[in-house]
Amino acid sequence: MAAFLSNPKLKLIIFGGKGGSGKTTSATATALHFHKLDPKKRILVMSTDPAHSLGDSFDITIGNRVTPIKENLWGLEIDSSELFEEYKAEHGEAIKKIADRGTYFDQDDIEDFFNKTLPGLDEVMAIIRIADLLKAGEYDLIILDTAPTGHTLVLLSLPEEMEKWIHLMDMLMQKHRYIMKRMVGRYKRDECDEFIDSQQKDISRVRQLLSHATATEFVPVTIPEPMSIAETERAVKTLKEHNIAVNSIIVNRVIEEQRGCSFCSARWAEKEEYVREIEQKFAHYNLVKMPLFPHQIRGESLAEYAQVLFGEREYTPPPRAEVLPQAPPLPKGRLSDILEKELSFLIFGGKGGVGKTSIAAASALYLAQHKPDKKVLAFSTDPAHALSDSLQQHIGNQITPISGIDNLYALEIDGTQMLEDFKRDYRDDIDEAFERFLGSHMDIKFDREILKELLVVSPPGLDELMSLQKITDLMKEGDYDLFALDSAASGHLIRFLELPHLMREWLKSIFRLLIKYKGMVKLNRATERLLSLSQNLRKILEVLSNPRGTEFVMITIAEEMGVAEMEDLSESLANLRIPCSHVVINMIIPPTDCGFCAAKRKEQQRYIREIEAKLPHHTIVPIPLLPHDIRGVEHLSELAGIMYGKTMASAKKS
Amino acid sequence: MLLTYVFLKSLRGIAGKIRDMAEEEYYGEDRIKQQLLELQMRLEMDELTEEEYLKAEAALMERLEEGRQRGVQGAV
Repeated sequence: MAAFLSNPKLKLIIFGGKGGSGKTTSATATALHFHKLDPKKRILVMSTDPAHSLGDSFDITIGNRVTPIKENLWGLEIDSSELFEEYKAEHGEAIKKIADRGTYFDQDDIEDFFNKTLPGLDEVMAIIRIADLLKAGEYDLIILDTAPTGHTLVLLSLPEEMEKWIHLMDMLMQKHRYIMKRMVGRYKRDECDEFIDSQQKDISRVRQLLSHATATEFVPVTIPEPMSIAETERAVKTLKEHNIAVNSIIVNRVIEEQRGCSFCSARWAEKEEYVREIEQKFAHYNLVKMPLFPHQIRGESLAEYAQVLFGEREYTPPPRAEVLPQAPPLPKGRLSDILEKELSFLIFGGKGGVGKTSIAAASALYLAQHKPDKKVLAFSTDPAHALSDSLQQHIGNQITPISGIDNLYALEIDGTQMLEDFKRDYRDDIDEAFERFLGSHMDIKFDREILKELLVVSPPGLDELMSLQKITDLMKEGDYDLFALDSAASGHLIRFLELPHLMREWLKSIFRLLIKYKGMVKLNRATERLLSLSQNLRKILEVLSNPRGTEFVMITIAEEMGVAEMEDLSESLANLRIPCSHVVINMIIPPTDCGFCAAKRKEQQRYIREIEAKLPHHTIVPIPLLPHDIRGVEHLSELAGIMYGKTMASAKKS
Repeated sequence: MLLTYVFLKSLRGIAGKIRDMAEEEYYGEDRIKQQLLELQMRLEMDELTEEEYLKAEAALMERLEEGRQRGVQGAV
């Protein structure tokens, strides 16, 4: 098997994996390695994760402009909203013209829709930016640092979807071309045709590069944990379906046995089993094992990581260092005031890999036991669900009672499946709504085809919209008293929380159109459904911003990237007026007398103080790193005991 | 004489049809339902306050009931 990323023809390297597995570190270290190998090679490292951490990793400020890091090495953290504005400024006129020619909407209608933000913009703009970069051909190698797996898989399948959109635009133009030929006798190509052609070429270039066996390689980054292993398996399978090459897998954070430390030994024993599982499951891949470092990897330490990653040196564990004085035990029960509130929504969010699912599942379990008269629904909207694994019971897209606890249910919302169901349900409604429209002699063959095509194309983000609708429906039905949400990683969580506002704006525009064209379009069941959605969204917005009904629990870890992402999240929550008064700092190394733990703990203490200083009005909830994985009721109870201060049994009695 | 009678009868027939159509347009359940949906949309678009909406909705409901009592086709 060829050595790790040794193929000299590589033009695109994509790092992906579960949140917190070390994608960014691996991407930036790889960039530094290739830069060192050939300083003349023009390299761009680009992040497509809405919660960027490239800048944190390099320890410089990057942002939405190509930023020099070293000579011939650049960084870019794309800002989809800004890119969308630029895209509209450049191509807006052509798009509006196509819509004007191909639909019955007038210019005011088109302008109104054109000024709306789209769901799923992050992925779409990332592909368009990659297409632009490939077209300009300024770089010899592009390294992508991506969002957690679920959204990255959406991103990689997008060029194919986008080709369908371009086809739809072409169909809108077909009608115009047909009319012009009949009226004038010939058709002269103009800027709209040029736009469609150029978009087609650009997107096709991205698609071809992605599936190019030698020019592109996807490197999954995994860690010895069951959820990460399961996510890697799914990713590898999907990548294979899309013909995207995978040769190596980085197995990150492999613990070295620390003799003499019972805490490290316990963790090592458990992780070793998972390492063996990885070796078995991915035996056909080049497995690149990376150790767990006693310090975070960023800035200057990236070079050390790169050397170990590319086999230039062996990792040497730290010597038995100074021993920290025994720290006082961490306080317990800091989340207990949540029990006193009559909440209907409890949201758990934070960076990928900080333990959101465990904390959400433990909380749901605890609350169900503490409030036996309330029905609790734990649900997840992350495309890579982990609730089943955490609760050790298969859940899936159906509300599932959790065994042993009468009032606890769980649901892993499958937005993609719901979108398919939605399309099927609405097909008839849409036909009926347009019956009058099409029947009035305006129906030429193109319109029917365009309407059919509209059902086929689906922008990314619609699946999240379906998840949102599911939640609004459940709230309306009123069967559950408390919803505990295990959310997607913070970048996409913010998009998700913004979705009700965004959708309300879209619905207002749709209603405006329906009223305007009420003579042509019959207001029917589809209208009723849209109205019901709008009413439910209004209710959700009321609930989300009500401090008595909603509580957002922010979860972070004591590391630079965790703290930076927590700050961004906190700012977004304030803008969205979502109440948040607790910050969980997870995975704090307990006091031991081993050098490895001491070094890690010392580093963490600095960030804990930083978080306390940055969020003085929040209750800080410290949670120690446990020597074992948190899976199943017993371990979740242990975690809940730390957060809420009582054991499950005593919660049940009270 | 006969012609005048036939003419007047036809005229009455036409007038009756026009009245039926107008009543159906005004009292017809389908038509009122469409107007109700429009009202709801205007409420969602923040064009109407909750109070204005309730008032207009009540007027439509009243009209629907009136249509039913008058036995207007499409309102029963």
